[in-house]
Amino acid sequence: MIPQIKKSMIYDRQLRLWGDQGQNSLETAEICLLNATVAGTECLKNLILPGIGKFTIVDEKKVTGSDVGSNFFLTVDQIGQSKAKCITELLKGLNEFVEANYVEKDPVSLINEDDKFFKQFNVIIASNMLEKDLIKLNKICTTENIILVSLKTNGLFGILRSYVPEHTIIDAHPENVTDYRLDNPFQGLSNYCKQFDFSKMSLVEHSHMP
Amino acid sequence: MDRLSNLRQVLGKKLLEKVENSKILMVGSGGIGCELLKNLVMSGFKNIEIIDLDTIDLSNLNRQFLFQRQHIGKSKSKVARKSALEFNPNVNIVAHHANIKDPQFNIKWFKSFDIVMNALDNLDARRHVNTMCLAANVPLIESGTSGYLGQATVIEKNVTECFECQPKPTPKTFPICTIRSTPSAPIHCIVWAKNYLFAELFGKSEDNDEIDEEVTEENNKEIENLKKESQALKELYQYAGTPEYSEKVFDKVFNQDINRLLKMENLWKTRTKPTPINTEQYKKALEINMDVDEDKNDSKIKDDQKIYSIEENINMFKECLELLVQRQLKGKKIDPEFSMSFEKDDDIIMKFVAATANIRAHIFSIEQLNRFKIKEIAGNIIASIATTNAIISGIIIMDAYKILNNQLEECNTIYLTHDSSSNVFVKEFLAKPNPRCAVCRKSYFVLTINIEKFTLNDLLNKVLIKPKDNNGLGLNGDITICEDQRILYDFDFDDKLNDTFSKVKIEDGKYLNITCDDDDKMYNIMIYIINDSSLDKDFILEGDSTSISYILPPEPEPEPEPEKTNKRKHSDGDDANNKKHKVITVDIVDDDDKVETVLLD
Repeated sequence: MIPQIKKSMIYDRQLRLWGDQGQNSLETAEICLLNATVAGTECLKNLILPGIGKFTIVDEKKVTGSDVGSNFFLTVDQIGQSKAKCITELLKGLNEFVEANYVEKDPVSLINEDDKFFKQFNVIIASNMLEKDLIKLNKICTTENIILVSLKTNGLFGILRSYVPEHTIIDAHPENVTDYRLDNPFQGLSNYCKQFDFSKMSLVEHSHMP
Repeated sequence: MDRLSNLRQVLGKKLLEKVENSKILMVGSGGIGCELLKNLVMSGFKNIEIIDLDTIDLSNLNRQFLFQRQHIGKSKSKVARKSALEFNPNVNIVAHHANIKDPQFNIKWFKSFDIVMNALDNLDARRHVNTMCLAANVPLIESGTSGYLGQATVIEKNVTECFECQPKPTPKTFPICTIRSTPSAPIHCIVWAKNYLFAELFGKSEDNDEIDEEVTEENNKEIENLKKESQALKELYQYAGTPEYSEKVFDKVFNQDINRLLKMENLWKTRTKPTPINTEQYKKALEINMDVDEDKNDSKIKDDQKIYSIEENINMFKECLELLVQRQLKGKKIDPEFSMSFEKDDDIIMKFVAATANIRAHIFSIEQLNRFKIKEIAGNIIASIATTNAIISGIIIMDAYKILNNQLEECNTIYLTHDSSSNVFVKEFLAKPNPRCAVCRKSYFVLTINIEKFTLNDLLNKVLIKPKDNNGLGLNGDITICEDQRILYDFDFDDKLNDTFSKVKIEDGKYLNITCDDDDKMYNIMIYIINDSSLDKDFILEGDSTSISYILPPEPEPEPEPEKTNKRKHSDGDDANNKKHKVITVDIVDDDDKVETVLLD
């Protein structure tokens, strides 16, 4: 069976949700995970199963006993080996159509010394990283127009935040669109607004301004 | 640092111990099941039993990640167990490749678990598990997903609503005349092709004889005609296997039957008249030489997306009909009762249904659909992805922790939404049981006796009527004892009182339904019988006799539609039913007026 047919059969249940277009967006995604944490692994699993194009895990650490206890994708016999390598191998088995890579480096060193590394990706998932490193990473991502997702979990708590570069959405079905173009107002609106002197208003008048 | 160190830090020693010692039943090991099993083995649970009757299919692999291609065709529960053990060998997992409704999974078995978790995709199994958990008094975590949506809730007898306290939306059915005479949408044609044409030609004969529609003054004549039509189609079967069969069948359903409809002028006053396809046109279409066998290359995907011409559909009709007839004849040689049921993954059956549905649509000037869409409608396919299942499974674990920590009341019903505006999760307080629910307002007891010695009279006087402070249930009023559909005793009928259970065929594993009518309260009790031949005349009654639930009589007027706190759409991942629409009646006998409660299957 050729790959295209196999894919359409395996992906059937998700194609009924997001169609070919959605699937295409997924398949052109190249995703990087910084720090092979449990949450990061779980995240990748959920991206690999529906078929992203490529993923790379960056982590310099070795597998420990407590890692095995909390990460489904690590086994006891892997203790002492490279975490990035082991998790990549097990995740790879989830979907034959996804390309898998790993880099045994500390993500922070890449941020500081080799920011060109990140250019190849369109999404970076930064897991359990310090604020100062995230700030630097965010600058790189903004420059290169990469989506950054920062992820942190601790016990029963977690925080997820995405930083998406500003982009334009065109509403192709403007049935109910009331758009005042506030960031680019038309002349009449500008003139009308300039009439008002906020400094001379009473509190009541001010709170009743449209 | 051992493997449980993180978990111990988060849960604390006490709760972790409870978790480790708990026994969990997971019903279903598909979409939610795989994610849930992963979570269970990583969250400290050490004793897990899973059950699923299904085998692994290629289309499961996009989300049921415990399965890989080499597992296709194998038992889901068994492979899930094996894969999970590879990741955590320190857990005990028992896998059953069976139907949860099998009698071996009785109340005693359910009672052995601390929590039951549903990971199902159909209403029928959910109802069954709901009843068993109520009877066994085991907390149930019920959940479902569909596309981006999902929900999870907790069910505990006498504390929360049970699964049946609120009516669930029944699968949509269409009036028979819409399907057989005046279709106006593609789905009507698909239902016709699948539930009428395919079923009449290849399905079980008894199923097709009933027309479940209510016969009224107006449709009386029409229903008679429809029955005649089906009969005529059946009679064509004598030609099966001959080269003329396809032509005869085609002419019957796409020409003769349409012409009969056209004669009924009043049907077409406001509707577009159907245009029959006569034999000449049929033969002409077949002359166009087309290669209907598409096993090559990438044509399969395109074929699924393609809208075929009427000629192509006619060719497909002939080819598929002939292939199916061959199958049928072969099958009947071995077993005269041989029949086929609709299978969405059977290529020929799917092509046949798609082609005939589209031919009918063409005749009635209805939009044509591609095979991808027809398969979805005919097969009741629910879109499903990994993330939704992963999220809901996480919630299930959190509920389980609370239950084990005696904090069930702190659980909520949680809905996973997909609106860009609102929160991702919507929480709802767990509702109290519906005082009119026929399922959970029943009291369940387990009675262990010796069926050879214990009589109905013993049951009546020593168990049912005897006051509560004397080990009985203290029932006061008119009592009726039933087993399955038979009445064994009521105030009018006491012939069998002195018979032993064994004599009236009440055996180990059977259920007795007891109703007691006390003025305006109706008590509804279900007693599960366990046989113990070592006993003499004594009995062991287990269950909570302190508060026997009763059902309130039905409301005098119809209740207003409950809108208010937006009851979110329930995602069942429901495959609805491909079966015929059957009606089962359960009599809840009330002395003054016979009240009938109808449960739709």
